[in-house]
Amino acid sequence: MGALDRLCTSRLQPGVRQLWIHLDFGSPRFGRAGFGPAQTVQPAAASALAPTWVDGGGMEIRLLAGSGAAFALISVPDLSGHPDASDNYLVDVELLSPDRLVRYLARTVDRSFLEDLANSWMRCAHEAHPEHTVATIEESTAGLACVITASTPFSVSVEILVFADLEADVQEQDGIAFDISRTSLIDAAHSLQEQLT
Amino acid sequence: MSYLGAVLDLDEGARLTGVGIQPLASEITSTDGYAFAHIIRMPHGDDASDAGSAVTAFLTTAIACFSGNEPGGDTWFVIVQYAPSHFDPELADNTADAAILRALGLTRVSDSDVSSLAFTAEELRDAYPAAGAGDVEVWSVPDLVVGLLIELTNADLQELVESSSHPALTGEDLVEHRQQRLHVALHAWAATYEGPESG
Repeated sequence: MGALDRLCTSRLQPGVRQLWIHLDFGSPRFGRAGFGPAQTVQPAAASALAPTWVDGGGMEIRLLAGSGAAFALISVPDLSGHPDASDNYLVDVELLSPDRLVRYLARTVDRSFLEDLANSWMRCAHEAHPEHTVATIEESTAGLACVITASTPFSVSVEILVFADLEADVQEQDGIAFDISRTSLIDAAHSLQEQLT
Repeated sequence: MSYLGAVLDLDEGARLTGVGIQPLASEITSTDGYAFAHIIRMPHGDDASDAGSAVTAFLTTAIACFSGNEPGGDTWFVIVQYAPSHFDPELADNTADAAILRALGLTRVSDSDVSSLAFTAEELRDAYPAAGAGDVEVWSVPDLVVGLLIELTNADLQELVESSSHPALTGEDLVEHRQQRLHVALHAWAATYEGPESG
């Protein structure tokens, strides 16, 4: 007996209209063709290309604290975008701590949110008490907020809040809080501003 | 040899064992655009059907996934992504590569052997008269891909195109008829399984 211990003529899978399984007998055989236009995708090279957004640029925004905590927005390569929707970006929202990594996939943020985020971080870095003077930055579509909760002359306490399930009737919140140096905030703000230009 | 069988860089004797069509394939009606096929080989005979379906779940414009095996024991799956025509081709190609690598990374499916092919709508369409099939000018890009997938199952592309047309139907009715015919053709292929060997 061959290694064919599964018989399916059709099987519905979530998100797939129909899946047809045809087991080994009589399946078409392919010959290797001389014209091999297939290109090998080198992971390293593809990473160097970076995930590309609709407007042609890749982006990763990261706040990384010395404790190992981090908040990141990582662009999602998206072929569905329309040129008129260039102000919207599809991103993965990543929360990192030394014992946990969570990534909320494919959230939509708009350009103005990213611009506000950059401005907010720059102000946080320069103002004496940003927990009082810098407003919370929110992106309701993505279920995301950045709150400044405290500060010292050298660092700022940042809390990132994320709605875990945008479709849920009762919103469950996830988040991460960390202290980050004012210089790191400046670096992150500059990096974000550069990526937006 | 079928068009896809010729252009896919698979070993001599490779077999097709599974085909999945995403709901998006019937939602896209554009006759223009690009299709990007990524061929992922999996070592050790891992289940390519499940892996392919899993990877597909993380691709926003995947329209089809099909899988199979090779005589040496490796398995493989191919995912086809669609991009609208307004994309710069090189940008779309890079984005499709990045999308696949992201999806492979998320699912922890090995990205050590990935190759890609890019098709314009015109290239897909040209494969049909080359096989003696009739006019497919009004076929959407996903339907063109699905048709070529069906040809991969040893179906006759000319007969498929003929059965997918209907002189009395136009517009959405014709599209629905065509997609039903494609569905029937795939189901017929799946139903030809003859049963496991005994002993």
